[in-house]
Amino acid sequence: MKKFLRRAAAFLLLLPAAHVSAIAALSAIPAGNRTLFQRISQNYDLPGGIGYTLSRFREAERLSSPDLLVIGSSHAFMSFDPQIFKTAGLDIFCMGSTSQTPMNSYFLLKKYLKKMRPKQVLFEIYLPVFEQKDGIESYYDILANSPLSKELLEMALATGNIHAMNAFFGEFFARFRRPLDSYSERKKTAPIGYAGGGYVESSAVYVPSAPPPMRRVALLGKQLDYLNKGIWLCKKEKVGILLVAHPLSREFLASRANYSEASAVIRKIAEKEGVRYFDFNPAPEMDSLSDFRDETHLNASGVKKFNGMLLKELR
Amino acid sequence: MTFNSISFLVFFPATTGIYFLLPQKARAVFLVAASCLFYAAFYPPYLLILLFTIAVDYLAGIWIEKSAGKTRKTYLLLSLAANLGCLAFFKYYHFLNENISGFMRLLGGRYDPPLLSILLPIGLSFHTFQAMSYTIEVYRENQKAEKNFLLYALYVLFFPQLVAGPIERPQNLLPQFREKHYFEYERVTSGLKRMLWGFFKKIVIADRLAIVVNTVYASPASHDGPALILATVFFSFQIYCDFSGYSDIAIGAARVLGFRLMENFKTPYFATSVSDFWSRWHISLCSWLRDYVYIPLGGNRAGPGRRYFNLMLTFLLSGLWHGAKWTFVLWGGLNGLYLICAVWLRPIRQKWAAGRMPDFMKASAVFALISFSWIFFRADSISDAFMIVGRLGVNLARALDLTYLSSAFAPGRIGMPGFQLLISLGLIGFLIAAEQLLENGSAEAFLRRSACLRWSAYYALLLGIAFLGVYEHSRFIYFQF
Repeated sequence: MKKFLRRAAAFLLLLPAAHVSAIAALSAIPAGNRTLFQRISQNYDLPGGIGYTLSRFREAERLSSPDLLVIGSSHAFMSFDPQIFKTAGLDIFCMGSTSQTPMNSYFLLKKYLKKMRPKQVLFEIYLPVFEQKDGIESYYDILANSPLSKELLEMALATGNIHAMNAFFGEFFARFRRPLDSYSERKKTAPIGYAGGGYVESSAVYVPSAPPPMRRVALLGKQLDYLNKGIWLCKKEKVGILLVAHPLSREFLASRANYSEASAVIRKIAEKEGVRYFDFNPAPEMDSLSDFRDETHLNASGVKKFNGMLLKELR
Repeated sequence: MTFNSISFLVFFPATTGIYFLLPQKARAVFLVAASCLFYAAFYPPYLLILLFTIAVDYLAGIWIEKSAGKTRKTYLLLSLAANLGCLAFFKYYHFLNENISGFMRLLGGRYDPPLLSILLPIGLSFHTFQAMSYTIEVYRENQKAEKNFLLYALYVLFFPQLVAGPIERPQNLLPQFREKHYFEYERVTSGLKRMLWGFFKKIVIADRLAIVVNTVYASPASHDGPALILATVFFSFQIYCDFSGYSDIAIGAARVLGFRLMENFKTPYFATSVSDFWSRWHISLCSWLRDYVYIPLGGNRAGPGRRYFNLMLTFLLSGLWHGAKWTFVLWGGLNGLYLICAVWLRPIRQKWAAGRMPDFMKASAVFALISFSWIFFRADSISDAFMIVGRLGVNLARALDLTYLSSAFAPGRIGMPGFQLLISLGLIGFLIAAEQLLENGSAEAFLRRSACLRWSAYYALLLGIAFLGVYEHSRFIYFQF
């Protein structure tokens, strides 16, 4: 058994080195506009892809002391217009990313809270992201478009997915070949545009087709824990906290059998932590056809209405 | 708990370590406890069903051995009824009632059985068949009844093969529980290597191919022949890597602990005839059906008509064993038909093909036939299966038209980008080459040359799992049976 344990220990000790060396070797081989390692990896996008995450994080690196930092999923960068908030005297920045879960938000806060020093953090609450067990989609989006950091490595570990770790090292080596600064946003085809302050404005109009399939929202304990952790982190840094669930289309709400029950779970957390939670659902003021770009995202007209409603509550 | 879970990565080394540290007397108790923990991790109440059949079969074995004449048979029938009763209730209750209801409606009558919420215990068909082989073997006097309840419980519960086989025979497994197993370096590392290969087949190949298979089979009407053929060929390799991967892990894990489980697969896609295929695929189930169904029915000792009937009945039962769906019955029936045709056409085949047809062509023909039958196994319904069969020829002539292929195989349609598709095809090529080298022993001989080569190969497989593994479709297909 001794011989086995000795050899197994040596084998396992060399494994991380072999792992990283293999990624380095595969990253040194170009394959089109990527490295061979990036080609092999799945669900991996180049910087400047959907959602203007590259522009947003570039702006975030330079930003300091906004009045309000909005953090969350794509809804966080499509539902809060900095121009509208500016008229109310509030300087806001939207730090959303595709499908960002509370886990991703927590590590982003860890990285940016001290650096940015916002007066208040607005946690955008979109319940379906609480159903994601790993938050890998958002992780890839953030990884591809932001500078590498210790917090990103921690986020990779928190996904519990080996591909997230691979991607981190793959990105590390890929940036020797082509630094992040050399990338720019790719052209988007949709009626959508980056309006600054992290905000993405869309003029698209929702065309409902078949009703979305009826299902129940199943919030995961892991994501609820990370929401709590995010709140505690803000409290520790003495930053104000707001939880906001933006309006969703009638069609979407009708497809979630237990929406209000799930929203009550968030309300309970907010009450326990003594923070304000605004759930704007259902929102009879919003019209599915003119105020939404799809089932859940607001368009410019919807954002105008919603931001007016939110500012009224905040006054 | 599944083999490809983080909990198993903790469970297995811990179990192995404790097992070898314990004195021989305590090992069986420990393995029973560990196996219960392994099985209860799925859903604890499942364990009660298992313990019930274990108790029944244990007592039945002793009573069969003690009695004579008709009483022996009664005890055997009691044991079979308990096992098959559990199987019928948990696996076939809804299927039987749906079909009886449908039949009654056809006759203008009504049959409304109570609607029960029944959860099928994991691997029920596997451990039921293993338990039945014990009482049958005791009845046939090929096996002495096991007096030690713990050892009999371990025969059924032994965690490496509990949920998806190999379906062991008492003569092979029971005596091994009385043997003392030492920690032998060569055996332990050989078991671990076997497990690594199994993990690679499951996580890298099977689960990757499943992405295309699941996407295409979810909406067969929206795909043409080339995509349907690609998905069907992928399914042939998916199910092989999934199930043989599981068997490799099971055999490897048992070997680490010092136990020898029977081989379940012998490179089945290299088979040169359908009967050859069935002697290499899921060997433990095929030999079970041969010994306990086909031969008792008369096997091939009766006339040709009876032999064909026996073959068809055995394969229909094999289909039904896989699942309570008509698609499985059709799959079994189609394979039965293949074998009947093979027997019937044997003189012509021998005269025409002997020496003329190279083995790889025979193997390709068998692969095509078997893959065709997998359509019925994989399709969600009979109507889907026939739709797929009907669409196999649609746009097949355009299979070499790159413009057409780039649209038919677009990532949005088959669920996989082009580069990943190439990797998948490369992995199938790698699998075929590796299995060939493993079968003829040249892989082992090559790796024996130096430790550096061996370690490089192990690292390559581990890194293959890390880089190319798919972790979203993690359940083993055969767990549902």
